[in-house]
Amino acid sequence: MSENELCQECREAEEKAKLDINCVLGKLKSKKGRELSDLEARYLCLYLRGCSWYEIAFRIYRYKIPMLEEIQKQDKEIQRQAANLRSEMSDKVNLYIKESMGVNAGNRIPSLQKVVDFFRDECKPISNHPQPEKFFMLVKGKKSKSEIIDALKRIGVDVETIMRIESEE
Amino acid sequence: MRDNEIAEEKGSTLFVLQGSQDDFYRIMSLFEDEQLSEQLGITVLDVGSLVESQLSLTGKMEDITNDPIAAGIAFLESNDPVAVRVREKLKNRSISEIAAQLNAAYPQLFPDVVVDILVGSVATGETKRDSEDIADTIELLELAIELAKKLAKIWGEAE
Repeated sequence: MSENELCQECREAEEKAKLDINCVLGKLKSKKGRELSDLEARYLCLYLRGCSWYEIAFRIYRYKIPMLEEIQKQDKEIQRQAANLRSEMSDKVNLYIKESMGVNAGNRIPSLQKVVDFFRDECKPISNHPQPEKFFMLVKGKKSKSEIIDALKRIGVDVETIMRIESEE
Repeated sequence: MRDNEIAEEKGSTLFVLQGSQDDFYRIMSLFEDEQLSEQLGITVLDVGSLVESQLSLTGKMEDITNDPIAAGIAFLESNDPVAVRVREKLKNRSISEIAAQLNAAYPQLFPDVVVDILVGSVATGETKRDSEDIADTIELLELAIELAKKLAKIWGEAE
């Protein structure tokens, strides 16, 4: 697969995780015995990019990137599709990742950071320049910025709050 | 997925955060291991990375946080269903003028106050039958209540 053939999700994964996706796809192809399907490749790249299961299912089944309000809504149908996708991929892409990393098939897939670090070691990273990461955290109930920031500081995580959206109910 | 937890949920709050990639991976790892909620003392429902296209409104809101009227204008120009309905009512009247009037009334954004502002913007001089007037009034009241809630959230958050 040439660079020009990379899907949008794979290009995002290269940008965010600083991974050579063609190399990663090649490693997993050797475990599967043939090319990953389009669905498997899209899932892999969204996973490596750090998307939640909900975001992954939304992008795969709704064919669009969820906006913040759509993430907050946590649509039941998307949640169901995410659960099914998670089950399906545990026997496919996640299994090939575990085999690549020498992890027993019966064990849980290692953390995202360990998976990314493994492929950065195995494949030449695209770039090592650290970039600020923007991400969402959806929490139960109505919480203030200071509650979240203070709680994260207590576990040694120092982040900036860019936006806060309360649900309607 | 946590269907039961979501069903029991009485509201949620979504935070957009920015930090180092290491911090993000740390949070993701704790979430994957189902330890994040316990360590934070806050029930975390979901965590995930975002791309810029998901943050287009965020960037705009960030820049205007200290200007409540600009924040009101940004909301009234957005694709939020309430903003779309308000624009339909405003027709050719200036959004910035309406935002300024609403902000001047804030925090007393009572339904009748908001309706007065909106009605001023929709007066066309056309004569309508009584039944149409009543239906319009009810619709305006409902819209005013929803708009007041949205603006209270935007302006309350900026304080």
